[in-house]
Amino acid sequence: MINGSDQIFRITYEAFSKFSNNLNRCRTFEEIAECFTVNLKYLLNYHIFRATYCRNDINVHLVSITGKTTVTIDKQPGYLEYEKELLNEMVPKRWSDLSSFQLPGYFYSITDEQPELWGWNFANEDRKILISVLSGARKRFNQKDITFLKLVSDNLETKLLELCLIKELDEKNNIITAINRDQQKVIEERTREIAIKNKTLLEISVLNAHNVREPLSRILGLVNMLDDEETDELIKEVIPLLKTSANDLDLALQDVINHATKDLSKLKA
Amino acid sequence: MTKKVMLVDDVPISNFIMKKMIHKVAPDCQILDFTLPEQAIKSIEENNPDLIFLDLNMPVIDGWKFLYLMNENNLENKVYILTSSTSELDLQQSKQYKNVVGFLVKPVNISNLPDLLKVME
Repeated sequence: MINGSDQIFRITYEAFSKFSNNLNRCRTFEEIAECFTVNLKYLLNYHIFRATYCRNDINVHLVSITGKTTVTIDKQPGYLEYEKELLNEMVPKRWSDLSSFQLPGYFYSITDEQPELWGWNFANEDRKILISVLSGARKRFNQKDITFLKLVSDNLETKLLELCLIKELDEKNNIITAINRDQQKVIEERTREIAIKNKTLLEISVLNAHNVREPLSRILGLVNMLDDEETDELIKEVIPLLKTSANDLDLALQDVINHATKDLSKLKA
Repeated sequence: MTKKVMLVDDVPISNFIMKKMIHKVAPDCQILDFTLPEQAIKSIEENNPDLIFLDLNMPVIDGWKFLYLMNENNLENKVYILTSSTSELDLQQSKQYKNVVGFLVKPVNISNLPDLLKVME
């Protein structure tokens, strides 16, 4: 035999199951807002439902005001005063007198008797989510609703974490892509530099070969001359020229060595 | 009639070698040798040599400039390019000049010289 309160519990559970399925499929913050707009009213009585979720520098505020939900993402946490109290005191709170708080405009758009503001700080490890509910005489939040509120909070937190992680992943991917692009550019630049250097080196080596070949060709010419005819007169004439040419060859080679050494030490520097 | 050969090379020893070799194979040849190409170019008109041995790698006026100046002045004397080292590029470039009859690498082999000098006949 199912009694009345069990019946209500069953209906609410079905509503929660719908909400949960719906939330699961969300891929964007806008879709989460839409899911809350559609489903939350079947789970809780509230005028305003507010969730504040922070992860690193992503701060998500979800505000559902009967029938309409908005999600905003900020770099700054943007805690409300009572949320700061929840953060500091780490216990659930309930306020009947809201006059001491400075609240956003939408809080004042609700006109109902016996307003009550409920607040919870569900923190675990590095994630924290603050949930608050404004209820009133017409829409009375009940102690019994806390069970579902916790479930809603858990589901929401898991989904927000998922979206934040995807967002972080996308950003990191963009950074990696940018780094890769930069590296590609650097590689192309270096390759071009090396190609230019190679060309210069090749030109130098050709020039060197020419400069060395010149005195060598003279030595060969003079020696060939002696092959044919070795008169003392010719030998006397040719020997000093051979000497000069050999010296020129030596100078040309020294020049090559000096330049190569200089270029080499430049490359090392 | 005596043939005239002109040598243009900034290195005197190179001219000396050529002079000795030519003298040996063609003792009747008159040889005009220059280490300054600017003087050589002036003397072409005056002496009208039958053949010029021209070095490529020279300061101020190099062999290419020399050929260009000859062309400019309508001097059609035959030229052997005589260079200590050469590249395919030089060889191709020399073909632009109709008066270039050959491309030689130093040192010239004396046994080839009589044939080389035949272009004067």
